Amino acid sequence: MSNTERFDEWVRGELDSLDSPPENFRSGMVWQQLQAELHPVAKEKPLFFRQGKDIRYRIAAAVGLLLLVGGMGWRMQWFVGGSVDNQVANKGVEVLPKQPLVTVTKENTDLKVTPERSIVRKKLAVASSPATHLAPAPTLSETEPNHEATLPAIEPEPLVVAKVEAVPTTPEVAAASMPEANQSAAVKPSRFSITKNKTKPSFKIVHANELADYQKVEMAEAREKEAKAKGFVVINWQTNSSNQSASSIMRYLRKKD
Amino acid sequence: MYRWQKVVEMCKENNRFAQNRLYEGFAGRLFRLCMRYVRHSQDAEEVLMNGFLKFFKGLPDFEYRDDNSLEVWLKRIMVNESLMHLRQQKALPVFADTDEADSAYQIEPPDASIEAEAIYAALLELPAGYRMVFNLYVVEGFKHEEIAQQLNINVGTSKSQLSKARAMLQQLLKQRGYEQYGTI
Repeated sequence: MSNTERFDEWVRGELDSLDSPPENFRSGMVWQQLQAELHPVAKEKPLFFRQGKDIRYRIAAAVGLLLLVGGMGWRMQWFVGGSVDNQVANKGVEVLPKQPLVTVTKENTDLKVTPERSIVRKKLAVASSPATHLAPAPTLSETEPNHEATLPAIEPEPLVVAKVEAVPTTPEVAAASMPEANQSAAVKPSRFSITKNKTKPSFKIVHANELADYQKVEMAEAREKEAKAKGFVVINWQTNSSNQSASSIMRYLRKKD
Repeated sequence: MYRWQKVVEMCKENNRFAQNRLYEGFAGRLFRLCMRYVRHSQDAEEVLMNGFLKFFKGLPDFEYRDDNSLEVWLKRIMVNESLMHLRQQKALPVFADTDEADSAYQIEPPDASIEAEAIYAALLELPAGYRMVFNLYVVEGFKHEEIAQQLNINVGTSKSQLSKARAMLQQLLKQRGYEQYGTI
């Protein structure tokens, strides 16, 4: 290796070893200018377009999540509101847990109708009170054996619905408290859509108010008989003269008597 | 895994932090390189910025092999930018066509006690023509044919400029106290 080559190599090596920048080098300023040149569009773009596709995907995901949460919240509100309504409606209702309010069974042909049953049927036939209008028309339903349909309580106003059970030998009429809405619900054919209507109804749904009225009438008559027996004159024996149902039933009973 | 491989890959994804790290890693050395050609610090900064800009924009086409290839490519970009800057400024030196032999000047073996900063300072004092050919041939490793093509001069002119540059550099170092270099 000649002196020239050794000299060149020595100079090259010495210059390559200079890593530290000179004092007059403004590194930060050059970097800022370089950044301005490298990313010029990013500073001019608004925030929505600055992040590119990422921010759009995030916004779309946020909107989707909002809709999902909103939908769930709406459904929850609807569900909770409905359950609260049911709770309020059931507050004053005496619930018979195992015994269905209305039991619909297949009519037995050799069913013997007792006088009690006949009385109820007659009362239903002549009932003209508004409460009676709420009751469904007497229909004869024929369904599968042991098929039971219960009427849910929806509205808060309590009513009493008579439960009529068809027992082959001695049919009994039971009274159970039920909200008035059940009457309206009972009117709806959807609740009884599973039954088939026949020309002759075998079971009746009797409004409890009618039974109460009937009891009142009986009590009034008893009081009247007692007063007559003792020689008293009874004034306003009818406790609730404004009750059309009671008065109509009373008139009917008087006619019958 | 090489030192700069991950940084280069992140720079290809336009990662600012990786770009800053690569800039900080090479800026000082490349600034000195630019200073050896354009001499003025402001011009060197401009050349350096343009060179890095070209580097980052052309990085997707760059095939990383090792750290040395990365540095060679960066130096090549800076040299080209420096020459382009001089052309645009019409600051390229005017070379006299001479065919003096390279052996016209006797070069003595180097002294290890000479500091690199002294060599760098002496190199900056060389005339533009001498300095440019010396840088291209000795430091960057170009051949005389390539230098002649780059500077649009003859090969003989490149060789004579190089011989004169070496002799003058030795003279400058001698003036700075390094007596062992003797006279040319």
